[in-house]
Amino acid sequence: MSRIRRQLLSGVLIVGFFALWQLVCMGFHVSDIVLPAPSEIAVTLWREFPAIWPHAFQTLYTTLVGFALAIIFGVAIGIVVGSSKLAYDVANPLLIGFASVPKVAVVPIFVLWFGAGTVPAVLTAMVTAIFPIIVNVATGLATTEPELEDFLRTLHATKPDRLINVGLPRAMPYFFASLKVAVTLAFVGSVISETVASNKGIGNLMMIASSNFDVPLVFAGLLILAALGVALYAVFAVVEARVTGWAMRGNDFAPL
Amino acid sequence: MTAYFDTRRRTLKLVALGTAYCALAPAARADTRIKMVLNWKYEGPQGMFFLAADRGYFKAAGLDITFDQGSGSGAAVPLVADGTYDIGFGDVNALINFAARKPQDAPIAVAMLYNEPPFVIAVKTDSPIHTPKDLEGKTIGAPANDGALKLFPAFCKIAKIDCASVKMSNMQPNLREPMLMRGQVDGVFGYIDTIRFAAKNMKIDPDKQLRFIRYSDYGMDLYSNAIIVSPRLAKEHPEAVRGFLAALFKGINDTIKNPDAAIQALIKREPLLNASLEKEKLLATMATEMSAPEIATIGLGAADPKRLSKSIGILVDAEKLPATPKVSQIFDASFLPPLADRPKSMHPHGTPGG
Repeated sequence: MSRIRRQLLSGVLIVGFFALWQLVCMGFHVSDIVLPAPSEIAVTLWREFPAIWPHAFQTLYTTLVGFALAIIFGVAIGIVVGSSKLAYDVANPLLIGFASVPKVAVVPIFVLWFGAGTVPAVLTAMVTAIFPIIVNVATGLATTEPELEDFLRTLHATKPDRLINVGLPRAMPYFFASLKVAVTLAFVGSVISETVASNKGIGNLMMIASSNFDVPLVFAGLLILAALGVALYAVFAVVEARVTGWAMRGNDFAPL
Repeated sequence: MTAYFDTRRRTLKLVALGTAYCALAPAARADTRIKMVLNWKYEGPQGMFFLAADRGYFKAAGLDITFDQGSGSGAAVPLVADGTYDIGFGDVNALINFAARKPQDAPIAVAMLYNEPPFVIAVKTDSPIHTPKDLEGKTIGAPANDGALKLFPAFCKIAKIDCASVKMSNMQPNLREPMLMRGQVDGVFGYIDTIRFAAKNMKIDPDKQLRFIRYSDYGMDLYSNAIIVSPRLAKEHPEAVRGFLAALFKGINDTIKNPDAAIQALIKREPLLNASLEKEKLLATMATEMSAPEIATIGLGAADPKRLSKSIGILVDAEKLPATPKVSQIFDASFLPPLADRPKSMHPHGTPGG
């Protein structure tokens, strides 16, 4: 199936989803405090856009800062953990422990340390996004073919040489695949933090809207979140295709 | 074979008996199922509801009732409006706000239980905030659903301060008092007893370490929490609403006679609560929030239409609501039990000083 047709179909699916939603709301006369119709949400979105925009910007900002920190620390930890069997075995239980803690339980602690605002949102985004990066970088390094390593060793390549010239390039497909997932998780982390305690951001906007019985505005917030999430995912999918396209040699499972 | 027939005959007999019983005894009709959302997490004052339930008063009125914990008095209003719950214990000011925006969906209040305004801004004793004017430029926080937070624009107008210069912060209910004590916010909005007792739970003495700016001191004479019911329930099952209130007032009367019984009913539902603290909270709520002078003449549960109409005016004016709901759209006294069955004083029997 050609790419254009596939994209067309996915567009049709999205339009169909909203059309069905609209029909259900109109057909069953669903009250807007239960489920507002897409048309109503669109009107709200348009009318309130100047008020929504600063919130969306704040969420995007904390997400991206948290995500950047997650990349820096995730890659560093991933390299340490992935490049040595010993480090992997030692660090694994602790990492899994951290990864299993529900992030929503950590946010109140961040808030008491740093107050409600940008800092807890950034930190929550970071801790939610960091684990897929660590795991993928470590896996990428650990799966470097031993034959290749042996060969380089015969050429007297030192461990850092092997890491930089073979290990890391081999881990790139894993790393970039993790970014797509991690960026959406960072987004979720930011919004969770904003719903727990904040004074700005889409999460905060949705809390205030629901306390004002403004359900269409709550859904407008959800739509903004979905749109931003898709946009960030798409950005990193493109980056992935550009940087590590060599690893996807035209098989049927290629993501783009 | 015989055994088979025997069983069948017995079943038939049972069915026949059952049918006869149902036909003969109208009292055995199916109970009306009622879902109720409370104002907050389980807390002392709710013992009144639980006592009424445990003593079978709702059951006797033909009601099969379930209670769910709430997340704020304001949050109860939309939950009743959208049909998730039939009855709620929620803030009548949030109801006025809702009725002004969506009159066709709005629930109606049928019994006013908290008749003195509990709305305050709490600050630490050593805070530089002494009057509302001092709030300008400061950060004040509360859960987005908090009643006092939602009334703040009205308060600003009455206290003549610039609302826009006060920075707002929202947090989950359980973070409110810790954030205040840690200095993450300069003050918090809330109901006075909720804040006082949350502080006590944190081993903080609210009388020594907290100060309160009371909305009522600045002329905001508002009602607060009421029993609100969905318009559908009020229209289709008025007898259920009447039965509910009659049962509830029996529970309230029993609580006045014996507050400890109400606390036991509460602890049965959540054993983790501190019984003596919750009892203190129940008594404080009865002595302040439920003890407006007017109940000596009109009884607990009723509302003074003049006072209610004035508070509707305050809200519509301050929050620039799109319409002014009529008192009859907000409060309907016709479901209340007769005055003789409602308390005229909330002073607990046998507890000197209250």
